[in-house]
Amino acid sequence: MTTHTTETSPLVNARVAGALYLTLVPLGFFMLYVSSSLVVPGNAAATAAHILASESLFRLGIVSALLIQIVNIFVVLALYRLLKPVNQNMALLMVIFILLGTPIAMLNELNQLAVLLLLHGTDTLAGFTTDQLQAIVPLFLDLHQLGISIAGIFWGLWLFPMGYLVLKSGFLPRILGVLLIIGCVGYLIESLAAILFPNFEVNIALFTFWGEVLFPLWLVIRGVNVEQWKEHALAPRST
Amino acid sequence: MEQPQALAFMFLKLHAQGYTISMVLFGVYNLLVGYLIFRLNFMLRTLGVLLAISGLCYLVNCFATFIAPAFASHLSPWILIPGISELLVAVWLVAFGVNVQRWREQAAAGEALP
Repeated sequence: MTTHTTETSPLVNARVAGALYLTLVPLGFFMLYVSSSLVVPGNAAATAAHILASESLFRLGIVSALLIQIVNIFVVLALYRLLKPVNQNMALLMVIFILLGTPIAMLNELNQLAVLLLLHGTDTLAGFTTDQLQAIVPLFLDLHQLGISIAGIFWGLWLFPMGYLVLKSGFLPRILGVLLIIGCVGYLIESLAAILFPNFEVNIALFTFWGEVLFPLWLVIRGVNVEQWKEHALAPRST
Repeated sequence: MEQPQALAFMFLKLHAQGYTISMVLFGVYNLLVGYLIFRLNFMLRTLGVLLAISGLCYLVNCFATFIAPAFASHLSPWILIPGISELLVAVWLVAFGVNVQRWREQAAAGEALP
């Protein structure tokens, strides 16, 4: 029976965190693709027709959203182990923020499941005409978007301690830390704008999120400066 | 069916879907705990295997429910039967506890971990 007598190497943590984090990029783009190809803004009937015609795609979009959240949990745990030596409290904050966003984003998928219930509801929802049911579909799709905005607050917030830890680490390029913090601001602006100024389309996150691609790429390709990591790990514990 | 009743029925079905969403997390949890029970070897390892299998079954059930509900209705309730392992783990813990010496060994080794 083997027991762990040595820590997992920081390089292993870095590569695992980076690899898992990178899987989120295609999953995230897939979700965007599904909604952009199926939803016809302002046209409930066309949207309903698209969703019914490509129902498997729509369902895969829902499952992708759930998968992203599960993967996030493992990503943040690996990042916690990697970045904890820099500042344990900040590392903990990073974990707390993303864990709070996880159930919000998962439950938000109920809004998309509701769309399917409505579109298949001709017998169970017989009190409504098909037109009425289709007219409610955009309401749930819009609610789903707003749910993403709420979850997005946490997707932004967790990047701040992450960026801070990268900046202070000395074993990762500081520019990545800056990019992550920019990503944080981008998500927060987009989420708050969606709630405060719904008529004003703010799509800043598509420009600011690149730190979330470059950071895991660096982790996978270049790992961390192990010497510097060990310095932090062996230093006396400070907050 | 009246409209309010139809809506009420829809929300009841949505609630059931919500439960299925939460089961995704629970399935991952069962997988992890089952792995730990097997790996750490201070209680009956077979229970760990069974628990991990039940976790996988929950995950298959959940994703099937979301992707192909017609197929998923064939899986249920059979695919949830391995969930009995959760009860077995609880009973084992109460009746037999754990191998304290092995537990202490793992704990001591775990101290070295960050």
